[in-house]
Amino acid sequence: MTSNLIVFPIILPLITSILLILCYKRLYFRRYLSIASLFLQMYTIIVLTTQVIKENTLQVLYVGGWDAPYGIALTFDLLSGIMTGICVFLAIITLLYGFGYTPIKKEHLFKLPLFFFMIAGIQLSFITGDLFNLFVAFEILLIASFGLMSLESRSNHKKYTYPYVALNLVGSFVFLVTIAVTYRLLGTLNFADMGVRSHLLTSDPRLWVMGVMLIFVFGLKGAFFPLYYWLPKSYPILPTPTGAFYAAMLTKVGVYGMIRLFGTVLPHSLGTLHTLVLVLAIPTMLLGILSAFSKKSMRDILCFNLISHIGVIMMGLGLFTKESLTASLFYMIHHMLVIASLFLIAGLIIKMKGSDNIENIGSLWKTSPLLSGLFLIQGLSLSGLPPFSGFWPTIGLIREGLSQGSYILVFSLLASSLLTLLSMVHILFRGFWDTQSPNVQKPVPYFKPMVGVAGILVLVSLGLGLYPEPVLKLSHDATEMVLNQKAYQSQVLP
Amino acid sequence: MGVSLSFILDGLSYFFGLMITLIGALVFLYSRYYMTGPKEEYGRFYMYLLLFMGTMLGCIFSNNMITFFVFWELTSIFSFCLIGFKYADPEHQKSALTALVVTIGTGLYLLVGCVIAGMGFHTFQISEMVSRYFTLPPVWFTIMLVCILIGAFGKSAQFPFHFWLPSAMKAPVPVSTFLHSAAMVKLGIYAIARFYPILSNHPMWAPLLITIGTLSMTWGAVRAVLSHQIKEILAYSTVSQLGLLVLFYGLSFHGVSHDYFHIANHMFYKATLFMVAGILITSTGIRDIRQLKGLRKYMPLTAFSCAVAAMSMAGIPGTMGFIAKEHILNMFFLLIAHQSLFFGIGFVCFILSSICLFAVGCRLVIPIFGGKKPPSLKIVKPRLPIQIPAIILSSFIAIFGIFPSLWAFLFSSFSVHQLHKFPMDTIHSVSSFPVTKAATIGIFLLGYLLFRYLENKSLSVPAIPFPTLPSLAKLGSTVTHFLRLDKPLDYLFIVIGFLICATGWVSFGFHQPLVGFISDAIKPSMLDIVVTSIICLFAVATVVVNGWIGRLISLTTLGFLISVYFMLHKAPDLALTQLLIESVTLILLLLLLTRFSASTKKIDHRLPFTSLRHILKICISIGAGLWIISILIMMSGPPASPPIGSFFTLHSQSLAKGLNAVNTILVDFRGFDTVGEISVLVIALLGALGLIHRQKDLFSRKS
Amino acid sequence: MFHSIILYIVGRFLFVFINLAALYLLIRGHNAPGGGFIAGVTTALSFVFLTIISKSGDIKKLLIVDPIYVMITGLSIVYFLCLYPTFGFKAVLTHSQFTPLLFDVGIYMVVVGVIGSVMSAMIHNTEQLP
Repeated sequence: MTSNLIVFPIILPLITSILLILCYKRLYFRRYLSIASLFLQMYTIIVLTTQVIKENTLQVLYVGGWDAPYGIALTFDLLSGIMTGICVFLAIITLLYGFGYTPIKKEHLFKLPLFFFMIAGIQLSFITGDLFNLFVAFEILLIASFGLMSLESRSNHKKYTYPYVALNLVGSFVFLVTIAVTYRLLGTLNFADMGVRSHLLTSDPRLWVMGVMLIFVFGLKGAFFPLYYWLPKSYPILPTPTGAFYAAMLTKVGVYGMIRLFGTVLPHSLGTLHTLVLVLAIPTMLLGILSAFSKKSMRDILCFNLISHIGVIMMGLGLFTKESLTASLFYMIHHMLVIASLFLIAGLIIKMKGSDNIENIGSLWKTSPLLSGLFLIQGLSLSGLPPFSGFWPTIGLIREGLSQGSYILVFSLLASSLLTLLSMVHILFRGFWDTQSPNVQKPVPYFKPMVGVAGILVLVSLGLGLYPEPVLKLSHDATEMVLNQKAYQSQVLP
Repeated sequence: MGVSLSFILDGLSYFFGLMITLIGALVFLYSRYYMTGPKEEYGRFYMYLLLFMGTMLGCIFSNNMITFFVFWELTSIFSFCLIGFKYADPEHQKSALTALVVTIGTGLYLLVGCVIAGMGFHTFQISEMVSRYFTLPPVWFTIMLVCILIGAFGKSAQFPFHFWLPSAMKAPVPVSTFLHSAAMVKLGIYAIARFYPILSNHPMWAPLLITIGTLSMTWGAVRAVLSHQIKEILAYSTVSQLGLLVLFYGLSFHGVSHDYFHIANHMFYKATLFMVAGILITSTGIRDIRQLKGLRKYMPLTAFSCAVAAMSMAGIPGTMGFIAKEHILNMFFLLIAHQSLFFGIGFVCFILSSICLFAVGCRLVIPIFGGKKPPSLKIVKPRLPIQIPAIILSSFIAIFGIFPSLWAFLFSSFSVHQLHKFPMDTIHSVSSFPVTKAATIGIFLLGYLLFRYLENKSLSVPAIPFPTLPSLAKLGSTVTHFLRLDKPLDYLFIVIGFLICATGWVSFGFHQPLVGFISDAIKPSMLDIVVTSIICLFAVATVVVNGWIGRLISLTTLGFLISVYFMLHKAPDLALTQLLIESVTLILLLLLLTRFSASTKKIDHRLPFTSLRHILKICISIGAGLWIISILIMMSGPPASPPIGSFFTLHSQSLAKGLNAVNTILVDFRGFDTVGEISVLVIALLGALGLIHRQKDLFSRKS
Repeated sequence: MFHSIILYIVGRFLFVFINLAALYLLIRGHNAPGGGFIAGVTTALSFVFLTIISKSGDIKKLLIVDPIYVMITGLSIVYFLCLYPTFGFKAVLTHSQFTPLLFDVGIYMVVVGVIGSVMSAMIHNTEQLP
């Protein structure tokens, strides 16, 4: 049965992490094993995705053989395919990079198992078609990421993990309440069934309240405006490879949840909720990026940029047309690649200069032109400038924003784009152009393949910018599939 | 998306392409002798310059609005790199940043304009737009027009975006020559010309162009007269000249004539003057023209080309500038017949700026090359090759100035349908209006007087402050502080407050009173009430009791009571689980905390309501409580659809072969959730062990 | 810890008794209140109890295997049960005759392993404290 393949992106990392715990003595074997497992996972995802594209329907697996809505249905559509694929790709990249970053003897024994548990959580949240199962996925994700964060951070930074776990526990609690509310209101937790039943309730404010609570839950994960407080302090304390993965993937899980919620689950006529997201998008875009200027560390700056760009994705989400969602999805893909590569570049700088505080580095423009080039490309790409990958979705968003008359949003989008550029230029000036400040350590020779790994990521995102057509088509098809509730329901519900 | 790499090859793009490659080639030659420094810098310089030229040509030849915009922004980026070529200098960084912000920022307006155009015309192909109708409401056309023009004004350093150009003069001279006089700033003019057939019918077109053009023309000319740094003078005169070009397009209502001549005139003489300025700077090291005197003997060729170019700027007969000026004066005199105040003001400003530019032309030649060299001035004689490009350009000025028919012969075939007037009147060397002659002579006289008047005065204009990175950093820290991002203890208030507000907002427009839902949903028994009130009691006690042992005990009792509640509602599994978990937690915590007893004595003994924070905490707690109560009340109404739960109780034996429905759900129906939760347990353990133990202790502790 | 010989002897009997109860809960779980999780927590409670009465705080010395291996075995059983049906071309986690019990046993082992490890780690690391 092919549909059993759906479970493999989840179960493979779980099994891998058990194996990784068991062979704790064979350090090199662990590394090979983890990469091999990721490649195997990638293979299953590619097989599944091609099947989805070929048949133009989603793949469903009823776990335990219990039909929806009674059992748990795992659904794999094009959106899941894109997200899981990028997750595995970034995992491979950041792991390979991390192997160069951390000496093998210093790697914590539980780092790799926890990393794989985290991947399992992420993949489960992309694949599941059940609200409670999504909660379980979020729990796996949260506990694993928190564990990893506290293992990997230095002891004087451990206190910064506190906001992360505290706020996310609040989120989990609200999620649980929301699940209870949903069950009470709709009598089911299956996405498809929820969709069917909520269509009868579009004017019922109880449904709106449920929607707002879900927005809160996903918004907390996805770092929406007043809910992003956990992010800026917690990501920078991670070692950069892990930080890159976190920055790229974790918030996107929340955003994915929003797309799934708005597209597949809730009726499309709930304008109030879309407006709420739009209203939140503006401060997310602007305030996030403004805070970036008050920071000195490159990773801090990147984290605030990240928040701002979540706002951009929210804008597409809130406008809620096929084109705007396509743009959002494309932007998300672009952003995951770019922010991860910028983190990796920051990691290289840390290796070379001993710090990523932009006041303390400098003269990289002269000493390492390759790194400067990579940074320049990704910095421009992050600001959505042509011809890099951030530009194409920006056009789509402007177009949709204008055609819906949301001038303030379009203005905020452009302002955040300009401000992003400025903050990148800020890094460029202080970190790359200025002469080296006297209190910097001697340049350290670093592991050359790390540059290559970062370079691969940059090349991929460059390719995305120069030839966006296939990915644009992919995200368009994925959006279409997400928005086609009828097809989803008839596929999942027998 | 309708974005493709399609190119437009017509007279306009050919002309611009020709000019840019011509000046580009000369600048490349010039920079070979101008640039000094290590070889790798050379390479970098030429790389940027070539990349810039490539994108510039790409921009000019692209037919697709989006590709046009892509190249447009790329020119800004390479200009940024070139202005910041001496990157370590904070001043250079500042000017590079200014240029970048202005050009990219206005470029974003252009993007908006392009997108609206694409929406309105249903195509991004510029060549197709002309023949199509704009399908959106007319206000969109106005927005599009304004956006595109803002983009063009930003790029062409028009008022109020003009300030980036003088500050961009920090760049090496070849860059200023190429980008900031000939190529990049002309891109805005190019855009105006390119979109002329599409946009010029709009009533806003002419007033906008005329106003902005007049303002920049006048302000630039006045500033040029008042400046002393040679490159600054040239920059402001460029602003003025570009303003004139903008004005020119605004005045041409029914087709443009001879715009190429004006553009070429400016390109030639400005590039020449910049090259001369570069020669002066390299050979004397001085940028302030007041200190330069009597140089004609040391660089006669340069003096010649400078004189020709300055004459063209001043509009003296025999140069292209003269013909251009006459042409515009003629246009004005034809238009003044309309007796509009608008044109009157424009005309006065044109005369004023011409006077100023004449004075500038005089200043650039007479004091620098005339007179006697003061002995303190040290000169390195410029080599011949560095002077050649300037001479070539200045000879163009002279040739086309003397034989304008040659220009007409060469470039008449470059004219574009729908942009240019047909048939085009020929350019005359001597004007047909006698008034024009009078005006020209008046300009010369007044200009010379102005030059004489200013000769021994040093006026200066204060610089306009521009927001820089430090000010943004200050704003950023204000925002950060205001949002309390650095105070991680405040976030719970904000997050919970948001939850309350958002749910409140959504249910605000709710017409049915919430209470209506309560009606028959809640019918508590006596026992329920007793248990719940004891639970409440312990909940309060958890907060009020002093000392951690008391708090822990009351919290655990709370848990036990909840299990009683579960029991009351016939959920023995839940009750059992709750009971066991509470016990394990209590024992583990006691075991652990008794060992830390020394360090856990510190507990806040302050009375409530003593500090604002305390009150806020209480408010938020009460708010959260009220929130969950109202959610419960709201949801306690009749369910909208029958819940699926009955399926499990009905079929747990028949389908899952178990009598205990809870267990069949956990193990069978929703076993996958359990798999996940079990993994969560393991993950939590791994995290905890990783924190507790050091690496080597993890597996080998059987000591 | 709280060392007393009577408590120790009684405690040993109690330990066996509690574990028998846990086993009972585990086996009957599918049909009556009980199940893997509850049984696991019960067993873990017995360990806690044992720790309190025994001389040394470290229960690892009292147990034959490191609880972490119990946990891993349990987890492996659960994951194996997930994948096992795929060999018979059935959906993941489809149960047959005895697998629900085995699943419960897996849960039981994980819970025991986790709580046991946490407890031993906590006690081990706080031994030196006053």
